[in-house]
Amino acid sequence: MPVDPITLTIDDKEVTVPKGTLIIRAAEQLGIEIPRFCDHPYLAPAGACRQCYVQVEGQGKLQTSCTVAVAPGMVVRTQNTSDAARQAQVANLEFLLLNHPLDCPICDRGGECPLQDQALAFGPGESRFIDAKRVFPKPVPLSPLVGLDRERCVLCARCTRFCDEISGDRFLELFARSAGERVSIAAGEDFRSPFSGNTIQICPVGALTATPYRFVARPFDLTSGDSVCQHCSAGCNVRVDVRRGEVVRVLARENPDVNDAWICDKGRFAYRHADAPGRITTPLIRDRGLEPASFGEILPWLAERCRSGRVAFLTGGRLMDEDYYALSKLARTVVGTNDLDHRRAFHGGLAEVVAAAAVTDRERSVTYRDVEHAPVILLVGLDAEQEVPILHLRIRKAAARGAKVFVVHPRRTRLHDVAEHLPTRPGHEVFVLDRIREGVDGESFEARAAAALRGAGGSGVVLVGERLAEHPLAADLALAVASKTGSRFGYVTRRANDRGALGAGVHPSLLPGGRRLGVAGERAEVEAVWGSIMASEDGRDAQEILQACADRLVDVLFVIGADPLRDHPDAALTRRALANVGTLVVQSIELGDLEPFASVFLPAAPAAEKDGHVTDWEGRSQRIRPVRDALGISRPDWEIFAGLAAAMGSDLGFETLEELHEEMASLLAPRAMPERPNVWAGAGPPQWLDDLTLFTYPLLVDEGRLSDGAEELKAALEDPAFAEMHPVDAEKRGLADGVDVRLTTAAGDATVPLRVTEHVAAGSVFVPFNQPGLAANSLLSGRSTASVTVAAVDEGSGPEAVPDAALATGPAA
Amino acid sequence: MVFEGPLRADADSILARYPEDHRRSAVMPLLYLAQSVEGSVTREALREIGALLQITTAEVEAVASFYTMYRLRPTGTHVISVCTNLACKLRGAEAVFEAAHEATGVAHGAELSDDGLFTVHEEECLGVCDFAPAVQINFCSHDTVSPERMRELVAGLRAGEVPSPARGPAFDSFKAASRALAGLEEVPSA
Amino acid sequence: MSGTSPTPEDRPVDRAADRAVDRRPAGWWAIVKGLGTVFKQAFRPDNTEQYPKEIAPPPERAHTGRHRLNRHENGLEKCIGCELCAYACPADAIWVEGEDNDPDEPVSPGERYAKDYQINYLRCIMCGLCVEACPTRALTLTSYYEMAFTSREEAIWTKEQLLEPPPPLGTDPVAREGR
Repeated sequence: MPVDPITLTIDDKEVTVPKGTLIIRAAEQLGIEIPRFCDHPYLAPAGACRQCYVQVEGQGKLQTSCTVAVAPGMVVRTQNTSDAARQAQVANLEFLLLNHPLDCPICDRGGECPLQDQALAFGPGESRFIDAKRVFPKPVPLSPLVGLDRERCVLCARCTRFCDEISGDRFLELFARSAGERVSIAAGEDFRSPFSGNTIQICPVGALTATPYRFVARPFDLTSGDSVCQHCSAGCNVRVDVRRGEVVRVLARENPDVNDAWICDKGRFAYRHADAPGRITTPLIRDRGLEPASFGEILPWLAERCRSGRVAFLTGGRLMDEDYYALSKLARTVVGTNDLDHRRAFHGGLAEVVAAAAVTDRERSVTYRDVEHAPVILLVGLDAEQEVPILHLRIRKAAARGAKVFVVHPRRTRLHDVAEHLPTRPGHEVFVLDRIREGVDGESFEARAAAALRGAGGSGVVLVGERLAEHPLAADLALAVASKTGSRFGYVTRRANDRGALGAGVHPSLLPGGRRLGVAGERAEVEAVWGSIMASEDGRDAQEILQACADRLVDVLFVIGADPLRDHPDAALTRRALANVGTLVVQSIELGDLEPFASVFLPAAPAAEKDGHVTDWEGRSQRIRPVRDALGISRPDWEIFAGLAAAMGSDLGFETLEELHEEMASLLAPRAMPERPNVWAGAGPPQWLDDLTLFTYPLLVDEGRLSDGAEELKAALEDPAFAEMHPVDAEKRGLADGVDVRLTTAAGDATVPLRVTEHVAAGSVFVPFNQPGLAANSLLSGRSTASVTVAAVDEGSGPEAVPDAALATGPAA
Repeated sequence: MVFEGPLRADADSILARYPEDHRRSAVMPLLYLAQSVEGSVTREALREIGALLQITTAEVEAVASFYTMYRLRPTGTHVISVCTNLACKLRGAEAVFEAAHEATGVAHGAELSDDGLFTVHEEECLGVCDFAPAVQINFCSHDTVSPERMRELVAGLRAGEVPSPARGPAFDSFKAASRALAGLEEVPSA
Repeated sequence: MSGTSPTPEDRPVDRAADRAVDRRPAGWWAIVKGLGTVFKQAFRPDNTEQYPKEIAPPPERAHTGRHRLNRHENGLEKCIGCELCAYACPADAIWVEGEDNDPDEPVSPGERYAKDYQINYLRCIMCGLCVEACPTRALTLTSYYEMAFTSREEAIWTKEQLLEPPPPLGTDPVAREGR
């Protein structure tokens, strides 16, 4: 029984619903469909389209059921039992169709259009309108992604309300009034919101359409599969539409526990990578000039090298739970190495261990619902909009419900209108956290955040991004803040399945379920299932593996679903490592930048062609199903690992997905985390080590491999490389906004245009990680921050005079 | 820049009328202020008002395009608004509208005269149906205007006179009226 | 079963049906009557068409042959690439791909045209549902039925072929061969 139940009668049937429920929702519970356009369960009531008229006894006029809340004893008559309501609905549909062009045969929405469907179900059939219809120029491109056809619009205001209430990017508004009223964007502006695609999906007519999908297919061409988005760790539920084997559209699938009904534009529009030109569908062997080969010939060859040589594994974040588990077992029980890592750089501290355990231990982790209902949220080292966009929407939703949001970040984030920001020099987050932990008095940011978290009664949330974990103790400190204030603690990884990798133990010192290799008891739990783990010493992490490769200490390097040349924060070392390693095995879906270095390519199937699970940042493991058959003889990664184990004369113990799941379940089952001492002992005063600190993180739309082919998305949201600097620092160096500057670090230098903005912390320089024009890892030496000098580029030496930044190494000036 | 120098000071004085967390309430007076410069609200002004109020340009333009007293297209020195709503239409507003076109030289289907002196446009109800046909010139009301009276009014404006309105203060131009509506001038009550 | 309905055994036997069988003519008369029918048919005029030696003109309004894509009088294609024909097709014989019209050089009126239009005549069952589905009368059936193929590829007619009016009957090479 709901809280505050209210009983009413709709069409002579009684229904009991919680107080505050709208009539239209109560009717839904009885299975009574009232036609509607403006009503959307995730948007506030508007009553804009007037389609959902019902008769409420005792009220003189018809009521719009999407705006009226139920009352005790209310008697409602819908179109089913009230002639007045039915006539009003028929008349309203005729009215809405007055100016509608009825170009359904060519409209992208035709066939799945609420206006079409409801006109058929509830409409008059014929219009009495014989005059010329209103015409507008069309389609108007609102951005390279979204086209607007104002003739089809019924002015339901769903899109403008989405921009206002959900994304906060208020680009769309209703302009003018009466017969001239229209949805529009300010002249000369672009609909530059990373959530713009949602307005297309919720448009109940064909007024907003997706340019990449324009005229590509009709709904009846498509076969659809349910999947989970692979672009970040948000775990958004999506529907993938395929036309004759080609992915042509991605839509959000509603899941109130994860993404509500939204996805970001990257998830929606970056779907062409699996069909991009570099896709590989058979194994390729370098010695034969990258000729196609079969698994049957390549695996024994590879097994021979793995048996005799020293082997290391690097993975990306886009594999599935099953793949990571199989790899962890392969490395430890067949190959006999602990040199495997899924991380791009060092991430230290207790937090990671806790996070690994939290894959199964839901008591300690944060979920979207916890965020939504938290009265206080503290974010540290996380730009949620750019890194995990749907989490950003949840934080905004919480803020709209009254949550206080505190952000500690070196760069202003898009939460700026709902949150309190403390711009902090990169690396100095620890001092802020330390003060919050101590609970300093006064009116400072730290004092307010501490007081708010303490006052949240245990439902405050502390969210930490992976950059913070670069400091060996920062994540521990954030955990200390959380435990001292009784808040929940969430460690937000960025890539799709980092949490799955951590949980499965693709890590030099962690085994499945967060069990530590170095702790005999925990190790024995794993060995009880796996048999003996061959190497007992902790392995090398990603940076050490690459160093070892460069020093010729590794014979066979597997790079699995990763591109360290772009992703690893030390481009120079990566190049040396790839050049010096004896055998480079690239297991991937595409050729990519590793092509010149690879000895062998193994064709992995992309997510759209695989069956398995992915784990989002919360630790929620979600099943995804293949939406089409694998191309060529590309296989799921875990099958390739099992094949390699067999070729090495061993056996991973599973041949089907079911057997694999059975085995995984025993090791990833929920288990209590042993308490561990917190080693944080105070930060001391902040030290200003260097004049300027370069920091970098990937923006949402960048040159990442999974965005290959998404040209419209890049045109809409991708910026060429730039550097951001605080006006104080710019003035000191005499640099103006817009000039080209040269950034010089110990690892290299690069020339980019400068943006002078107060949105970065003084003393820091922001460079996006992977935009066109600069792969920022050429400026880094294993961490996401570096000491940097910035100088104006002389007139004489323009950008063309600077050689390939990745190769030009030199000491900092 | 529209809002710079003294105009920026005017804008600040308007902003100061509203509490810090209700800045966006200043959008309408700021639109009038912008209109008092060029006679219409330019795109640049829309953008700047958005920046001043920390709202998007689209939100400003939504307000500006909703209300007919904000002009978003090039506008003459004097704006003649002729009500053609029901009451006025029944009392011959169309002839008045026609006379306004003739007298000012505004082409049919256009709004602005070639000499840039006049803008003539149709208005929905001006709220003085009891004195139909109603006309506003630079926001000043003129009651029961006949076509002859309209020609006289236009001739007067051409001669530099300020016709005395039926009620309220008189303004010698659309810009001056806009500035008064921004609340920046002391307006004598009639 | 309800207790009142009679079992088959209880039902009265229909003797009249048996008598009807008995009323048939006696054996020799039946043979005469049967042969009468044979001779009547044998001396009727011949109905066989001597295709392809002689090609009878198809009845007027006989829409029993291949499709044709029509054009407007100004030369624009009537087809707007809406794929409704493909949706209606019970044999999945039609493939359409839409594309944006270039406003300066439109292929069809409106925003969309068919970049690709194919009908596979190995699949087509000539049911005409596609013609009924077409919202612009772009697709009609002709009475041209001379479609013999020597390969599967040949059976797939492209947009360019379908836009051409059908040639006169009897000009198909296969039909000529038979003459």
